[in-house]
Amino acid sequence: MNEQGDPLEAELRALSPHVPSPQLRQGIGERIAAETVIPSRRFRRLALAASLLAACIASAVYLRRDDPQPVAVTPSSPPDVAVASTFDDSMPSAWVYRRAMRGSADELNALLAKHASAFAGTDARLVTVNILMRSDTKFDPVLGEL
Amino acid sequence: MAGGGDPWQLWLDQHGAALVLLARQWVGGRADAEDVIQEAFIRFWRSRERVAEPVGYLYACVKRCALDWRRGCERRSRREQAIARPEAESRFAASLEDRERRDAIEAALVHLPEKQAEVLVMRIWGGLSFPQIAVAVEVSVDTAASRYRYALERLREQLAEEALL
Repeated sequence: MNEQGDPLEAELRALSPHVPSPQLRQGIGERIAAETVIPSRRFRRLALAASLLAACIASAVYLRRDDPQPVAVTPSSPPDVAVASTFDDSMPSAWVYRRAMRGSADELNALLAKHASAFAGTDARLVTVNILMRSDTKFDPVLGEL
Repeated sequence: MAGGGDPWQLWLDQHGAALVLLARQWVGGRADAEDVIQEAFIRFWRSRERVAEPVGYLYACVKRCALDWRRGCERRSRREQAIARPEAESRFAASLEDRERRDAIEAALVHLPEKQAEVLVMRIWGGLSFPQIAVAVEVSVDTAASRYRYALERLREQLAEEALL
């Protein structure tokens, strides 16, 4: 660019555009001042809300510590654990089938298949007959013991 | 200049006059141009720290706001009126001794293509570098420099025609 020595450019630079009016300066000043106030108000509100939330959490924790709730023990869980440790899933029994029936049909089928395959080497036909031919009435006393 | 200590006032002192001139390219009247500048300046001030080239961004904000204003206010007819009567509200303080020459330059400026005029205003009265202008008008540096050169050539031609009349 060689406009540095351009007389037209120098002539243009000699023209002075009007400076902004005091009203413009005042308007910008007021708006910038307002914009700086708004965040501080927002911050105060946010801080207040955070304090209240923290106070609520602290009191909840404190009250919970003073009055500890008894540990809820479901009646079914200990027997299940005990029975589970007593009976072996890999062996066919009334308990494992009842447990599977409580789950779903697929679970029962899977269990039957598992036991069938486990005993396939010995006498799968006998296992199948024993399982399927026994009536529910014969199971009842056994299940009643559980 | 009624400069103040606040940083925003320093910005306005340095660029205010050029911004008014730039905005009047689209807005016409000085009062409307100052309304546009106020809006643009606030927009610029909120985001100035997030931009890589704040000077270019300031001019871009003014251009954007002026174009919005023009779209919203059916500015075209008002601008045509302003072009028809450039002497009604001069864009420059009477710094040139030859008032006729000043008026001729002003009329030639008004008739420049917008893309060339904005670059000329930014360069001559805003003191922006070509990279800053490139940011402001969203073109390459070479394009900004070319537009400036074309603007000067066109002004020169128009002023020569004016002299012959």
